[in-house]
Amino acid sequence: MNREKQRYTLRVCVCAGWLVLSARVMGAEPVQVALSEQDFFGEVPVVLSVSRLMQPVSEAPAAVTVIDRDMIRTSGFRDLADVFRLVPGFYVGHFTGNEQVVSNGLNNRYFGRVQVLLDGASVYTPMFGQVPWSALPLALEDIERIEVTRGPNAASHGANSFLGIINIITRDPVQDRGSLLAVRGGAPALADAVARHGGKAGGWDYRLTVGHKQDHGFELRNDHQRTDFISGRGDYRIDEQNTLQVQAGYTGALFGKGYFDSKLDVPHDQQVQSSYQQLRWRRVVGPDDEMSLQFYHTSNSGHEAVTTTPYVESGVPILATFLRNDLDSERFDIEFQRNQRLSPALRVVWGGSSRLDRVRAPLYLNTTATKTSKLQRVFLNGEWRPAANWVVNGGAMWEDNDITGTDLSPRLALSYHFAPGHTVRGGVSRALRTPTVLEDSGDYNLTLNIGVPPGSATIPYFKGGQGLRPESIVSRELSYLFESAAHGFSADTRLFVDRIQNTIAPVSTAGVPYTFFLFRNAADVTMKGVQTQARWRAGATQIALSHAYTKTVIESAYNTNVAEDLRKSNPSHIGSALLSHRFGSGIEASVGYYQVSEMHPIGDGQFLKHYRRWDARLAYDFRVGGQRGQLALVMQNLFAPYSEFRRENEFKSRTFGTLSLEF
Amino acid sequence: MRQRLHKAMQAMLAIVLFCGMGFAHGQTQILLVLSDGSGACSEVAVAMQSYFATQNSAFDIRTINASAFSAARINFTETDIIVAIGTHAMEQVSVDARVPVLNILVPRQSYESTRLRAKHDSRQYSAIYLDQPLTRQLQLIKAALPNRDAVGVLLGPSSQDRLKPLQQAAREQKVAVSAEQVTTEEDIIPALKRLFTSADVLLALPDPLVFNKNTAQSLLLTSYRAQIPLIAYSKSYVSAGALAAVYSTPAQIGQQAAELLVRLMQAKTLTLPSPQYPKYFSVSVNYQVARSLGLTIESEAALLEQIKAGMERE
Repeated sequence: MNREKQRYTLRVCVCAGWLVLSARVMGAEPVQVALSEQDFFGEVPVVLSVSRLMQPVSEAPAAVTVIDRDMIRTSGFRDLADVFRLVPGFYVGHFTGNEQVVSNGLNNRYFGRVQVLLDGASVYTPMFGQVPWSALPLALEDIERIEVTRGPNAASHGANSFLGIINIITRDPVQDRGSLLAVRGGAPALADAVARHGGKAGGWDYRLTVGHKQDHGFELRNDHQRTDFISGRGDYRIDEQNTLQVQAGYTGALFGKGYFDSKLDVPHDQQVQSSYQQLRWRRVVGPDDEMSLQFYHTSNSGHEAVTTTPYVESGVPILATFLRNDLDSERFDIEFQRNQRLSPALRVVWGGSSRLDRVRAPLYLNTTATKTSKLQRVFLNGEWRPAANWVVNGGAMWEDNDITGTDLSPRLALSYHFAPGHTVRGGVSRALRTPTVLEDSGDYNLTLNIGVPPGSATIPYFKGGQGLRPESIVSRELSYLFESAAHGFSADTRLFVDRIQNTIAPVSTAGVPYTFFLFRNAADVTMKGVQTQARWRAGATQIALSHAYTKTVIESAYNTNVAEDLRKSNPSHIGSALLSHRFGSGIEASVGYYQVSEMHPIGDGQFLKHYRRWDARLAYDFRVGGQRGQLALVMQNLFAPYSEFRRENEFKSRTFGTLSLEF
Repeated sequence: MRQRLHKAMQAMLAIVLFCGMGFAHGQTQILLVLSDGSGACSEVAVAMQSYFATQNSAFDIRTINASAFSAARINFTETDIIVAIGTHAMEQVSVDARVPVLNILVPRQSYESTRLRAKHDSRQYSAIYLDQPLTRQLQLIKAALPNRDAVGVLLGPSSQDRLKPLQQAAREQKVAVSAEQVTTEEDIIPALKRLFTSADVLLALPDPLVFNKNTAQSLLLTSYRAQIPLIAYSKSYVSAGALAAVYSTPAQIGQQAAELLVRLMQAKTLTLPSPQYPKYFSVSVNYQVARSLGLTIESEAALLEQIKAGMERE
């Protein structure tokens, strides 16, 4: 009943959103003001302060890949997660059409080991460490750019910034005044719509976006999705130095789950809700002098229930049993950050944060109680330029959490610009990954009705390790970066050695009478390899290339099964290429190529053969009555089907069209 | 901070003026009319005084605020020339003045519209503009961004008449110009996006409709996101996020005005030269923005030298 009500409320919100969006704003009256010396000497608020400025890849303290709007658009991707196929070494898989996996090594359905920030708010869930990619209340159209750090950077982003950090930055509302309406349709039963309105009201620059997404997903899975979301952002300038930013979003979704051939996990629906609220105050005194205080709250919940199909196991009749899985988690976080320049050569950023996570998951934790955990952090990072062509980046984060106690994550990187456009960088970084709630205190059992003798049997599946040590990584890298601004070309290649200790893995454990999985600190793993990326922008043509070769060495493991699981989870080659060209007549064409060598992802994944995938997109820009519009046709996987994450997830050619109008 | 500086300037000015008083009659008598509420005007006056002090010039200087200026109250027999500092002073003085007026620290466009109302003979009414000549601004672009030669400008009601002179200057400097006209604040972003299809650098020309405190954010952000550097006309815009600017400080304007007055006195004439652009100027670069855009920009001093060398060649 309650859920019915929530869905109804969402519908009302979305309808109201559409109504607001359909209203046009009135144009302001022309103003005529005389020019005076104030136009020359008056103060102007600092707009491009240090936190807003994008760090050039050649000056970043770690390996960074930037995905901009152009790349997102020309790739033709419809799901945010797919965009990370363009990042060297990043694996993207679809466990189902509505549940994506994005990871950078030890590829795993649940524990991504990648920190994901949406405008500074951490969005991975405390229960699994998963990111609810499909349920993020976010339209691709609202993303300005995505900065991906390949490798740990816990000194800046805290524990769990383990094998990578994805930093999603949405557009400032001032950039998108007016309305946008986009509809998309195609196979498999795909029907999406996004509407956005941006404007200015009472000193607020605002943006409001509503969206709907639905499809049938993979043919051989119960894999439909219906997703509705609403998100908004408002920026208010209090005075010349102070601004206030408010953001909120809500997603309500229905996801198909279960397997057609399963007696227990029979096909069913999962109801998912995801929401966030964020408030940020920023004070910018000068280009190098600013502080911010931010508070956010995120919440995720999933509800599903099944009635199992009766079957006979080892002569025991298992009767139909009603099972339900309710999962509610939320996060409260407050963070203070200060950027300042201490001398012409030294810039620092420091701050602290405090976080509270709450999880309630009766099925996974075998308790109806809410589990809470707290996290405290203090960090300091500096950028020192002892000479014009040297940059030293260093910093550390001190953390204290309820699960594993106190730890320090330091980092040091040295960049030397040895000739114009040529940089070498060496760096060492240490990071930790706190066990997720499931790994630490999971207790997942199924209690099934049995016929003979009448009663029930409890079958354990997963148990948490209780008192696990955090995983730790020491990452060493040596990079060479080349950039020729005059030719629009940049490329970098990175050699890395990541040594991961205390890797947590589920270990098959004999119990009485059943065997179950126990999470243990089960292995030490070394991953080493080469990652390369190149970008070329020559007038109307753009090319982005990425490639990663990874060798996985299991230094020690609890047993050979664990060793094999971890080793096979990494494909040795991942590559991508995206080529786009804008023709003079408003036509834009692009081709994407993606390949992943054979692998076997952990956590409900299956062995997958090497695959190659080609995508193509053709778009036409037009004008109707002075308004801009675009018609686009996307074809994904032009050739033979391949499997995503599991063999039955056959990705066949998909074709869809998008019509968008700006007014 | 600005407020404090302003107060300090006023105090300094008072001391300097006090010392300057009491000169024997027969000296050139100058009345400085200062626009209110602007620290820049006081800075100009201080710079003028300092220059006079180095010249042992026989000037008798009085100062009043523009709001207190009234032709009826001014003893014109004891005033040889009025120096109006800032637009408010210029407007107050233009109403009725019987002595030559030199307007300084005024934008060219405001001067020209005020000039139409002033009843003075052209030899008795002139100005030192606050704006830089267009050629100089284009030279900054050429010096800072030698690989960029497609200049975009956003023109509003106050700057639309600059298009022709800009096109002329651009031909001389061998750069291309594309322009978009805006009449309301709502037009700015769409016009900017249209400009970005052809321009690889944006030149800001002062226009209160286009460039003001409220529009600065969307202008700077939009051009930054499009990787198009903005070349501005004031230091404040450089701090705010513009790539670079060529501009004159109040002290530089004051210096030029004082030199002009000394020359007139030495020539024993009160015939004013025609309006002129600033002779002294500065260059400011936001290197942080440059780095972020992947641009390598020479030092401010080197850019200044290149612009000066370019001017001498003209």
